[in-house]
Amino acid sequence: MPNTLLSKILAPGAISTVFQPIFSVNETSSTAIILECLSRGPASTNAAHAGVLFEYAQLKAVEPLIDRACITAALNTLVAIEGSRRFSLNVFAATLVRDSGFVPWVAEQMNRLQLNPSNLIFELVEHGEAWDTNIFLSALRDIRSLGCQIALDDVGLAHSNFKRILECDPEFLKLDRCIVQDCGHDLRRQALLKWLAFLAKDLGSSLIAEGVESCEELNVLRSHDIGLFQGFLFSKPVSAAEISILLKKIAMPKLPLPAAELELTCRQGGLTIEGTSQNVERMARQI
Amino acid sequence: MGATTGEHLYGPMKLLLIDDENELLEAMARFFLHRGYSVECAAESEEAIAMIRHHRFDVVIVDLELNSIEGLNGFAVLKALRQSCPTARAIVYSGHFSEAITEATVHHGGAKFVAKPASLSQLLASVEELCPIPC
Repeated sequence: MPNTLLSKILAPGAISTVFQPIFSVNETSSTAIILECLSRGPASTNAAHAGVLFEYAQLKAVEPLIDRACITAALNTLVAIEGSRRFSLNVFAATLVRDSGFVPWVAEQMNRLQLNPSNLIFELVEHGEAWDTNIFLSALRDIRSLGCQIALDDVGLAHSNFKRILECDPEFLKLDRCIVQDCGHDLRRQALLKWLAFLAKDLGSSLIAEGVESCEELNVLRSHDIGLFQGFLFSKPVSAAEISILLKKIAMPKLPLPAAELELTCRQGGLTIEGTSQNVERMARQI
Repeated sequence: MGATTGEHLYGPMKLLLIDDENELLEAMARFFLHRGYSVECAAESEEAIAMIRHHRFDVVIVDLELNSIEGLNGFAVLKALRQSCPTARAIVYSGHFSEAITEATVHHGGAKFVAKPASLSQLLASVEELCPIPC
């Protein structure tokens, strides 16, 4: 294979995996319940930027190759993290259509690493054109027959639309950050959130808000009965070593959220709490 | 030529260099880096388009005859540039100069045509012409 970016991406060990937890938050506690596996291309290439990596995969029409490489890296990294947890893997919808051996291959990898398929959530990402719906639906059935669940990524953006929701019947709808961002101030976004929350409830899907970065956003999202969150307010994407530490830290205190003065930020791979109240300072010492 | 030629009001000017000849690409990158530009490189049109869609550049220098199995070439890069980064200026260079190519370059938003082989000094002069250093 010539020395192209693709050959560098597909070289053994070239792709690395970082993790960003999805938190369940209620009145008295916040718990990391799902680890999203995020892939990064080789550090010395343009594909180190995830956006470039996946855009390149689509432009080269090599989504199945890239997905298999990313999932191999993710699963091999995941087994090193202590404890049995639910985790999610991003998959191009195009991969399910073009790669007929993909779902059996994932099952084989899970079996090899003794990972429980019922812990796996496939996050479907797609911004491409239409495809063969029958093959796509058949692949979704295969995924569910393994015991895995399905999340539709980037809802509100591009092809993550109503047709896709109807086709996938997803257990989770991940709201794109374009809806979440600044929802604390923006009445139009709040109107969308209200409506999407009703829709998700009627469809039997759980909403996950992506890109949550402030307590104001969190408060508004919670006021619309959204219970699952991901974003820098809770944790940036971190390495396998860092996520183990982060999960241990989170497991000890139950953080009372929301509190007006509370700002959670994740820095240097660890969770730190900044705020003015004694309560917050006490919790920070506990952590 | 001073080492800070590539500075503008907001820090180093950002260049994307696109050529499938790796040696030439590396030479260009070293040349512009030495002159204070921030430089990214891409050896394929798909890689270049992905970069354009996820980063901001001031100037893009693209070889029109990029190799690509799918048939994407320098023109596809120009099209992506116009869609995703319309404020960026483009310099296209090609060994097959013709009026048709010039017209196509203008049609695709190309700002300046440089005939190949071009010296690095010629490319630098084109960059400086497109993005003059503020006084």
